[in-house]
Formats: sequence, structure tokens, C-alpha cells
Amino acid sequence: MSIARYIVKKIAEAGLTVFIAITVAFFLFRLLPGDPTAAFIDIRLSPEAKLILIKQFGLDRPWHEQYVLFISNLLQGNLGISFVYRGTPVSKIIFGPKLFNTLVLMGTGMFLGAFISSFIGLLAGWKRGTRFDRTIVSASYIGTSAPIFWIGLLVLLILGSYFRLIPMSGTISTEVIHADPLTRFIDYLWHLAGPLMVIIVYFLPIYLLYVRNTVVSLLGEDFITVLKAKGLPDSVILFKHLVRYAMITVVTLLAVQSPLLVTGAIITETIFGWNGIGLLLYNSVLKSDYPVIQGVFILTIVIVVVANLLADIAYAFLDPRIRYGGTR
Amino acid sequence: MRYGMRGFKGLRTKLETIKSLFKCLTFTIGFLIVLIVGIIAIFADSLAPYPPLEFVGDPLEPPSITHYFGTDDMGRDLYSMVVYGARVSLIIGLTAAILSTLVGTTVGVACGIVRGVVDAITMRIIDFLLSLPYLAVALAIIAFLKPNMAIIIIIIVALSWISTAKVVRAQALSLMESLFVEAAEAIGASRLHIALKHILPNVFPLVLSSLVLNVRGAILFEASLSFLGLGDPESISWGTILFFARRGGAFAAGAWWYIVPPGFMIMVTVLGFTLMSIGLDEVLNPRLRKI
Repeated sequence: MSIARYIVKKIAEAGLTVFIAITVAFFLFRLLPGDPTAAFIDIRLSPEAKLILIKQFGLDRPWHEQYVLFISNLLQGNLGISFVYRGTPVSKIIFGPKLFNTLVLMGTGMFLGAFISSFIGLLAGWKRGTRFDRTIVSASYIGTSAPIFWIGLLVLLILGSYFRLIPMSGTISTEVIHADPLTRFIDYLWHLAGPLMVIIVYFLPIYLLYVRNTVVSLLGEDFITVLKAKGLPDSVILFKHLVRYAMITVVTLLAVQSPLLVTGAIITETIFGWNGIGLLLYNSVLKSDYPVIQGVFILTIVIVVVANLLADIAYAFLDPRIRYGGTR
Repeated sequence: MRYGMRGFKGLRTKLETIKSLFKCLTFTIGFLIVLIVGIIAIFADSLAPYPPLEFVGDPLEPPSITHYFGTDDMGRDLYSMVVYGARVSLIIGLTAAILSTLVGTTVGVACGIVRGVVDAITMRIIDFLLSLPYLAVALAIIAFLKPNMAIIIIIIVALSWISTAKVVRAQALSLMESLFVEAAEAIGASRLHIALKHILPNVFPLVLSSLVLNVRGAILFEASLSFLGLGDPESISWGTILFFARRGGAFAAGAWWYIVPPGFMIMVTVLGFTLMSIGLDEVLNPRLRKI
């Protein structure tokens, strides 16, 4: 299979998954509330807004027509109107600073987590059985067992409450909202530090264990013996040759565990008051803001599917077996 | 003994398997941890000096002889709350895990035996469910339903039978290709007979380690929901205590005793089940070394 065909196939699969997810969301949000219009209409909305919504989403028509309207509205970015944010369109709430903040937090956190864990995992696997390796492996098992929200609370308690190194909540301090961009940027980074640390710790142990085990499973392979026989130093074998396998492992994990991104975002953002999609979802659940929940629900699935898709494409470039028609 | 797995036929093999399990240090440590937490949960009534929901001290007292873990923001004894929390966490964790393992095993074995269209459709559904962000789905459902213990368990089961189904199905498919199943089919054994007598005993080791992993997942999931304040409001689990801690101003007061013990208990319990599952795989499923 050529690489282009492979990518096209993966995109088609991703599209199908998103389509199913949207359909599930449509029925879920109509069956669960009891009142089928509850997903869009609420007493908190003004009468004019209600009339517009009934017309736009065909809420007085049979469900199959509603379904078609739902999809066509969705394609135009119309997800209804928030019950809470004084009638603001859902798409406007989601696609803005909130999505940006979440992408910054999760993107940076995942990248740094993958990077650091690959580095430590490679070393631990290479030194298999040593005290260093055993310490790292034990620490990782403990790390995978600690709930992420507890790690977050501890970071907040120690660094925020005791040492006052990081802010207790928020994305930016109120005092600097009108300051110059550089001050605001620094303040933003200062707020990012806490949640970012938690996301890194969240991804670190599991990635590390997988990378380590990949390296261990390769240690007996012929090509390692050949590389050693050629007189290459360990560092070159590790960071030039084995690192490629480690990257395949990491990319696999990114794909398989992309739903964890959403979990991480919801919990970390809630703890640190980071103004992102996860916090938005949490607050909307507390306030029964159904249109926003529905919008975020669809968005999270799209994010997971896109992350999967990117990982699949990255595979094709990292692993020649896929490019040349082998199986993964 | 096919495929490097040990079935569970005969009392002697059973005893031998259990013996070799306890020779594995990882498993033994995990088992001991789980045992201790279990004992705490069972004997919570005698271990806790105070009823967990009664106001027995001043707000946010630091740890002392009268209150081992101090008190919370309403003057409740945190030690007693943590002890009773073991009960809630284990009940929800075990019930949800047993149910999802049952569902997963049934679906897995059924797919492995029936194969064909049913299997293909089920696998599509499973692949779809695997791409769902669980916590977001759970939040979306809880937005409509008032959470109680049963609903929390149903949500966990609905989202976590999948991994069991996947491993069991894969194993069942490969068992269906084996000679003894072919022989059974040749003498006219029914599908149900093959499932119960040939497939099930042979996937049992996998099911067991999957069950332990499911307990781990269920405890973490319940803790996350309760921490967000979306668990069963009637029962206080470790996650609930941490939710109270965040809401009750434990940070402003620097009340570490409010935050450290419940989270530590979650971590240790989950670690216990993790170690057990690693040990189980090492002994029973040596060919499936995961991590």
C-alpha cells in the first residue's frame, strides 16, 4: 500500500468515527434529558432566542428532519446557544481562548512528557537490572497508581499554598490584564507551570515503562550486537538507533491513550482553574448547560480521533514496514 | 498447557498455581496490600473511633492523639472518614469490576466462537468505544442523571468491559483453531459446550488478570468522579474527601492532613491491584508480558 493510499484510508476511517460519534451525541442528548428539546431550549433563554432555535433546529418537526438539520447546522458551526453565558453561541464559547488554553496546556505537557520519558526510558532499558533501572521502574508503578487529581492537589498545596511559587488559580492575573504583552505572557507562563507539571507527571510513568520495555526487548537483537561490534559508543546506539523504536512506541501510546488527554484536561483544569475546555465542560455539567456539554462532547471526540489520525500518519513515516505494505 | 497457558482443571494444578503465585514477590506484595485495605474496609466499624459523618471536633484541627488524621472543615474526624472510605471505594471498585469482567468475558467468548458478521460488528463498536474520552462521556451522562452508587457502577461497567472483551476474544479466536476444539466439533459438540468446557477454562487466567486490572480502573474512575463532586453524595469515598478538601478551603489553611491520607490510600490500593495483575500475568500468562 502506498503511503498516500494509507493516509487516505486512515482519514476516511477517522471521518466515519466522527460521524458515528455525532450521531450518538444526537440521540444521547435527546433521550437522556427526558424532554427532547432540552438539549437546546431552557427557561434561561429569552423567548426570541427560543423561537430562533426552534426554527433553526426544527425542534417542532419529526426526529429524522431534526437529525438532518442538526448535522447541517453542525457543519456550519452552529451548536446552539449557551443557557448560562447570556445566550452566547456555543461555538463562540468553545472556539476561542478556551480551546487555545487547553491546546497549549495539553500539547506542551504531552510533548514534554513524551520527550522526558523517552530519554529516561531509553537509559533505564539500556541499563536493565541495575539499581537505576529498578528505581525508575518502581517509581513508575507508584506513579501510575497515584490519581492525577491527587498529584494536582499536592502540587497546589506544596508549591502554591506553602511556598507560594505558583498561583492558586486561573490563567492570568487580573492586575496584568491591561499590561504590555510581555508581562502578560510571563504571567501566563507562571500560571501554566502548575498544571503543566501535573500533565507531565501524568504521562511520564506510563510512557517511560513502555519505552523501557521496548528497549529491553531489543537488547538481544542482532543489530545491537553488530552496532556494538562496530565499536559505536553506547550513546550513539541509544540516541541514534534505539531512539527510533522508542519513538514508534511513544506514537503508539499517543494514539491508544489519546482519550487520556481529555481526562487530564478536565481534572487538571478544574484543580488549577485553567480557563480551558475541560473546565468549561465541568462547569457546564454543574450548571446543566446542555448545548455547551453537547458541543464539548463532540469536540473532545474529534480531538481524540484527530490525535489518533496524526499518530497513524506519523507511524507511516517512522515505521517503514507500514509504508511497504506490511502489517503493524 | 497450550499456548503457554495453564488452565484451571483439577485441584492439584489449582493448588500448584496458587503456590507459584505466592512465590512471585510482586504478586505477594500486591496481595498483602489489598488484604490490608480489605481488612480496613470490613472492620471499619471497630477501627474508626468516631462515626464518619458526625461533627466531633473543631474545624481543621491538625493531627493529634484524639484525631489521628486531624479534622475536616466541619470538624469531622478524618481518620474515621478515611477508614470508612475504604469500604465505599472497594465496594464500588469490586462490583463494577466483576460486572464489567463478566460482560467482557461473555462478549469476548461469544465473538470468538460465533465469529463472522456478529464479531465484525462488535469489534467495530468496541473500536468506537475505545476512542471515547471516558471521563467526558461520564460527565455528559451525569449532567442528566442524579448520580447514585448504582448509576456510577453502571457508567463504569458500560465503559470498561471493552478491554476484557478484546483480550478474551483474541484468545478465544486462537483457541478455536486448536486441535482439541476441532476434535470436539468433529464429535458434534455444541457451541455452548465448546464455550463452557473448552474456551472458558482456557481463557480463565486472562480473565483473572483482566478482573484485577478492572478493579484498579474502577477505583480510579470512581475516585475521579467523586473528586469532581459528581459521585454518590450519600457515601463518602476517598475521592469525596478530596472533593470536600478542595471545597472546604484546605489549601488556604495549608491543611495537608486533609489532602495527603485519602489520596495516599487511593494510590496504595491501586498499586496493590497493579502489582497483583503484574504478578498474575508473570505466572499465568507468561507470553503476554505487558508492563
